[in-house]
Amino acid sequence: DESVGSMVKRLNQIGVENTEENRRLYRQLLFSADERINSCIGGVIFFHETLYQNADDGTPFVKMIKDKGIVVGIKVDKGVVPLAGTNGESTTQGLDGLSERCAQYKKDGADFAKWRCVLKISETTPSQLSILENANVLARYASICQQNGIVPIVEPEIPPDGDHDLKRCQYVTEKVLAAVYKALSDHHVYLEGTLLKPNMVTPGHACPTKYSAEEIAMATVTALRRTVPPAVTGVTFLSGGQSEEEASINLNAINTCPLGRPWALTFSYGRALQASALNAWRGQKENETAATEEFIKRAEVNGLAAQGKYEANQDGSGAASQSLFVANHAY
Amino acid sequence: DESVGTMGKRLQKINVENTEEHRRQFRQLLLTSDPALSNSIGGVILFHETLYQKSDTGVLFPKIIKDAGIVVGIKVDKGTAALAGTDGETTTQGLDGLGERCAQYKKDGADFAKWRCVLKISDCCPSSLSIAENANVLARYASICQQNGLVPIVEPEILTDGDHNLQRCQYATEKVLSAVYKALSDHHVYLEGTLLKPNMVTAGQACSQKYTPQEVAMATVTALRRTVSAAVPGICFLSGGQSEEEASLNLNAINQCPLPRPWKLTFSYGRALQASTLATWQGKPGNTKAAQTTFSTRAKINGLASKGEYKPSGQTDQSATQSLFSASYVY
Repeated sequence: DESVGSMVKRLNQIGVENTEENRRLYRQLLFSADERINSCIGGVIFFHETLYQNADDGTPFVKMIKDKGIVVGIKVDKGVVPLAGTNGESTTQGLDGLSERCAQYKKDGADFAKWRCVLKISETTPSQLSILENANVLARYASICQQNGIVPIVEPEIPPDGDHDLKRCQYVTEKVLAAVYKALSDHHVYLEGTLLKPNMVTPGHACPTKYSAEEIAMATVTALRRTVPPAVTGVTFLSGGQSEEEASINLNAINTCPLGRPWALTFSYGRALQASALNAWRGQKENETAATEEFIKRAEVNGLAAQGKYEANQDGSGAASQSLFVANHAY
Repeated sequence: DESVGTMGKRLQKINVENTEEHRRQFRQLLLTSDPALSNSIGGVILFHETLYQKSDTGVLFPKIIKDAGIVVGIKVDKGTAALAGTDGETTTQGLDGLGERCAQYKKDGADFAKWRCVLKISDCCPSSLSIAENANVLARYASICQQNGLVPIVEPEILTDGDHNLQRCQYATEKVLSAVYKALSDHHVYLEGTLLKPNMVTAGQACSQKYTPQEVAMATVTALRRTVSAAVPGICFLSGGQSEEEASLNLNAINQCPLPRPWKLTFSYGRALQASTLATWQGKPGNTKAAQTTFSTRAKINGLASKGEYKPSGQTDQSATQSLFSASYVY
């Protein structure tokens, strides 16, 4: 799902006005996907608004999702705020009253939550402060969630902005994740009841060197093996501006990587699950079925990739191969 | 192997004088005990003196060990030193000139090293200073070893002294190991080239409650799953005062534990490999063969236990079941 602000960008791209009704219609077409979705998608991360919206026939979206056997999650952070004295770095806010909000969301049908922190790579970043502060706020969030029966997805995203190479991203990812797990330990978070939503280890978007999916997979799995304890049950990658096809191919390579992987490695994609669907819809009611179909296709592909069973075909169909990179992406 | 001071305690128990010759004889006894010793034993941690001692036939011990297909290791720390302002806590010294010493040991046949830190459990221990300082010194040691081609065994031992229960030990072990791995990350240590030598998670020696090997195994493996990343290839437990039989039974239960274990789980036992052997030897050359048989039997049992295949016959002799606990143990 997307926040109101993010929906603006999505709908702008297809020339659709960002009204609550249009957002509802769009979410409805995704949620009305048939039972093929049930074996590919295990959870949906809702935005606050969506948790309380209904389908045309009055069925709450929460119920539609749960009836498919899919778990309902809720994004609980309140966006990034700058860290003074740093080179454009941020932390994430949303801790105030978080416990009461979690308790309410739990009553309203959510069983997991998501909180996104952002750390960027440059000559001088991520700084010590940024790493410490973001790790700490993620640990506070996770601790509060668990006190309210909500499984926290911990998301320390390192966006691909920049021209750094694969190694630099791997180095930074390892440092960030080591700090995150130290903070989770310090805050007494029950690791077996958390999920991690990291970036894959990739070169910067503007890096001149190209890398294969296998190189990305090896760098990603190595970084995770060095930092994520086996007690963590699952790792759900963010797509971070990769095209739909790239995100699937990389996930597949990750799941066929020869290194030992004690956690499930799967997807938590926004842009990389929805781009084709949005394109097919273009806000037109008569396109709804076709749009839903695009979404199901993408979900099935990623379901296979999460098992290392996806065989990419070469058709390179338009929207699936289009980069979804947006500089300084804010959800 | 044991240091001179520790050999003193061993030999005293069987009324043998602690001379260099007696130490040499005992080490020779162990190292030549079984041509197939390498089936059960992969590495031997030598004390400095031993690296330069020879067998009766004038062969250097490192050569005997290597010819048997076993890797030679060397203890490089210089014992504990008090941490002022704490309640009897310590750090470990030995960093001065460690780089040069490692380089020399590498030339003299060693391929791995060991460094022991000690933490204790009490109402106020381990303190955060103790945890941070010991984790840091272990990371410095590990980093220096790797710069000199030695694989560091990282040993953060939490003593069994005390009456705390199993849970308290698990809690302390998790906090300590979390700090150790954060420090290793901060010091840029290559985890795939390290080994961990932790205590098993057990109740304090004076705890009134008794626990089964399965409970010990579950607590131990859980603690490791929460703190030790999959990149670490192997974990070799210290025996810490457990009797020989206890140490084997617990190791066996650990290797049968139903939780997934992405690292090897094996033994690095001193007392729990040698107690019966010493008792059989009594310092008398006539007992050498019998002592050697005792030793290789114990080694084979632990070899099986490290695969979860040890089936106790029920006829363990007295010294095998004797507790080897010694308060505030110093090697």
